[in-house]
Amino acid sequence: MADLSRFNPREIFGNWWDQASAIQRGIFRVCVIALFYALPLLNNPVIDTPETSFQSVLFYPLIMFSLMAVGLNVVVGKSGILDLGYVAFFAIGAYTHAMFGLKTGLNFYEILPIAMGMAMLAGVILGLPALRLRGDYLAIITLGFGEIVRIIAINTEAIGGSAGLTDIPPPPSVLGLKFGSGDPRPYYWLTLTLVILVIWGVLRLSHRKPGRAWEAIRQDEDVAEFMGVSTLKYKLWAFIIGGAVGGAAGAVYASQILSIQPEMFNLNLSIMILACVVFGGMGNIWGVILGAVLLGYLPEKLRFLSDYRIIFFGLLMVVMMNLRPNGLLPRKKREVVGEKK
Amino acid sequence: MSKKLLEVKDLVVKFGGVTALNNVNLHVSEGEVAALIGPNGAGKTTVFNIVTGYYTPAGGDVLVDGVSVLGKRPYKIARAGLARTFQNIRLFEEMTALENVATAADALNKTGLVGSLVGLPRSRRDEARSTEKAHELLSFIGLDHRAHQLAKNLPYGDQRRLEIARALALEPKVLLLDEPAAGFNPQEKVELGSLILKIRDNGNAVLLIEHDMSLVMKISDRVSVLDFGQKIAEGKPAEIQKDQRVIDAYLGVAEDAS
Repeated sequence: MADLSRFNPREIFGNWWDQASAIQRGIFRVCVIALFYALPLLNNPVIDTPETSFQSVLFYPLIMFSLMAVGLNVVVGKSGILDLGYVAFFAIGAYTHAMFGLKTGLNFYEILPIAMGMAMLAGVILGLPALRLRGDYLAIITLGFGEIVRIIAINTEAIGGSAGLTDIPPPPSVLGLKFGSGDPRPYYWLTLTLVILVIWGVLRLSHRKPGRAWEAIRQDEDVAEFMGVSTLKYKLWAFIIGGAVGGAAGAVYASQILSIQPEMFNLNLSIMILACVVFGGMGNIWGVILGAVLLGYLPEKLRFLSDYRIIFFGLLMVVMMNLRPNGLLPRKKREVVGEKK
Repeated sequence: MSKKLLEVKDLVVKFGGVTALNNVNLHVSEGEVAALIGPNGAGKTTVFNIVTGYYTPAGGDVLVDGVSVLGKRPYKIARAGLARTFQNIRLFEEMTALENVATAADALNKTGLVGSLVGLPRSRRDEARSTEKAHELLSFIGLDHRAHQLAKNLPYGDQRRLEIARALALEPKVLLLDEPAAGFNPQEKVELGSLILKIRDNGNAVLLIEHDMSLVMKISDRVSVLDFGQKIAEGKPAEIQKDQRVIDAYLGVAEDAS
């Protein structure tokens, strides 16, 4: 048991990765990406899910959870801000796409940056005052923010009130992929592309100045400030980057289900995404994706247990968090003793 | 007279009803090691917390190189030229030694987050500068061979020195050291003394809080003594050692036997 809780795949894989040549790394990356793009084409009874088709499950929840978890990871995992209202950004993205899609002639690709921008703006408006607080107080404010956005949506007739919005236009066809015909696969590929872009950006930031600043803030905010890090600025950046990713996820989601109601954007979703991040391994981008995939997939796969599946799911969570309290793939860094290279 | 890099004027600090510092005046001049000593609870660390912007004083002023830094956020004061270490080691434990120093070195770079994301030429230059500077400082304190070890796994003495290197990465006008010799054996104290003198000779003035009197007396150019939030003496180490008020503060005054 003790071994299971300490086992870190990074120690095995990381060594191979360090020794791999640029070409080997390139080939590995291409293979993994290709595998993920090919997933909806696989027809395997082992991974197939009952009741809902595997292709639908692949889009929602798997890849949507992954996108949101990667975004929330910047906030919670990288800079240590506990955000319990992440669903608010998702809702803002979804509503922005719905409203612009219905009221203007803009298509999905033109609205996507607007949706992300709106979510970022909301992040600034909430973050500037709230990020001066820390820990529990900040968590409670974000929790409130998530609820406020939902309740405003219910009570604003201009954006559909409690009935929500319907007839949201799907994205126009690209590369021969037809959206909005009931086939979830184009949406999966679209979202997967977003996930890859976000991973690329986050990894770049992580290894540079912003990554060090976030890490310093997460470990000791006071000392980070004493060492010349503008903590408010970097916390705000983390918050709005996470918000932008959540907004993008919301826009894609709205363009797929074509009608949205405020009740879709409830606290449960915030908690679910947070669970993906914690379960997978806060701060480790591969961990949070694994967490999102498992927590999205298991409830669908376990349908044969019918109503008991949620109990089983909860039990699994409890067992896993006892065995691996830092998540499936913890952030723990490998250190190099002596000279590097 | 040499330039005053740090000047504390008529500083008053109150915590609730307690006056922690009462009209304290201090300064650190270019090219000197100034020491701040006093019994436990005298208010020495409070001085550090005020000048670095962590607390706001009830009265008085703090000038760095002639400019008031009162009311500025700590990160701005750090960039303006005051860098500190901590009485209880406060490294970024889960980061490597190199990253610890590079994080502070970053503060002097102008690259923003978007520049880092896009990878502008300036961002690349800045990254290289931070890394190079961190290696330089780790060599300076004799720790470059452990650059890629996590800070929490370093031996105690190395952690203390790493804190000094991290503070130096801010290129401070005045380096504030809060009990850097705590927990050191005599040999390590001697090495620390020469390290501090080397830092001074490199052009950083030093303000030192320290309980080890032999170290203080050996390396300080000037000593100020705090007791119960008041400055009770100031002068050359030799003068301070003979000062009756200082002896009383440390050893206590005998009750009148009558």
